[in-house]
Amino acid sequence: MTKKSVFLDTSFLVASQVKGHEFLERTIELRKQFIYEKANLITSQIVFDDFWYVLIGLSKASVTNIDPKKLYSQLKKATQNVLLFEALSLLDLDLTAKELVDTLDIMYRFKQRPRDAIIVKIMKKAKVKYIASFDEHFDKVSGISRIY
Amino acid sequence: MIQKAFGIGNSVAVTIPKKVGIKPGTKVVFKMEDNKLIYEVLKHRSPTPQDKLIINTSGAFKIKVKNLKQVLKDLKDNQYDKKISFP
Repeated sequence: MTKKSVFLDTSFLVASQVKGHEFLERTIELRKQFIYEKANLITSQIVFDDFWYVLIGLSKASVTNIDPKKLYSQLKKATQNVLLFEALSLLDLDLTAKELVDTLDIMYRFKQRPRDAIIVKIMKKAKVKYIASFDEHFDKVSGISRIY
Repeated sequence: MIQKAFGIGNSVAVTIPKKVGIKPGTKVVFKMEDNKLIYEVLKHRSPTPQDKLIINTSGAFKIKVKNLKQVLKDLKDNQYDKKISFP
């Protein structure tokens, strides 16, 4: 029997690292469940683009001024934490020219934003059916089940 | 039966006989009924190395943000804001 593979979306990674996030506890519960199910966890470089964007954005909205050095240190720690997640591997983007053009079809058919359409495309290419995400818009995509 | 009680700030720590089997990782719920403290052991289990890994690799980004939920929503809605870079 093949193992279940779960793609970790930005919203999952952000929730797992931001203290006080409403879904932090849920990410802990889900990770325990994934261990129990012996699931493979997968994410991609493109998710880190969004992950860092959100964390830096949060620091800008902070009530206290965060100096760049401290922010850098927290970003590095949060990133290293994610890379230490149990059974986590990184999927290469590695889309062919045709697959890249097909990504537009996902944007058009399922009303996805460009970055999310690329995520869906690389999931489909790697035959990953599950996405751990707190973003409901992935529910519009057929062939993908959201875990939250 | 509680053996000893220690005041710590606004809290009280109590000692409970070992034979009850409470150890680190045991989950307990408690409530007050009149003046009685009633507790119930939910689960006896010490954290496994995997539990510890999960806890140690969670919540690294500590930041005080008013209305965190709204800020996260705004960031999601304005995904391509070029102003987001190191200060």
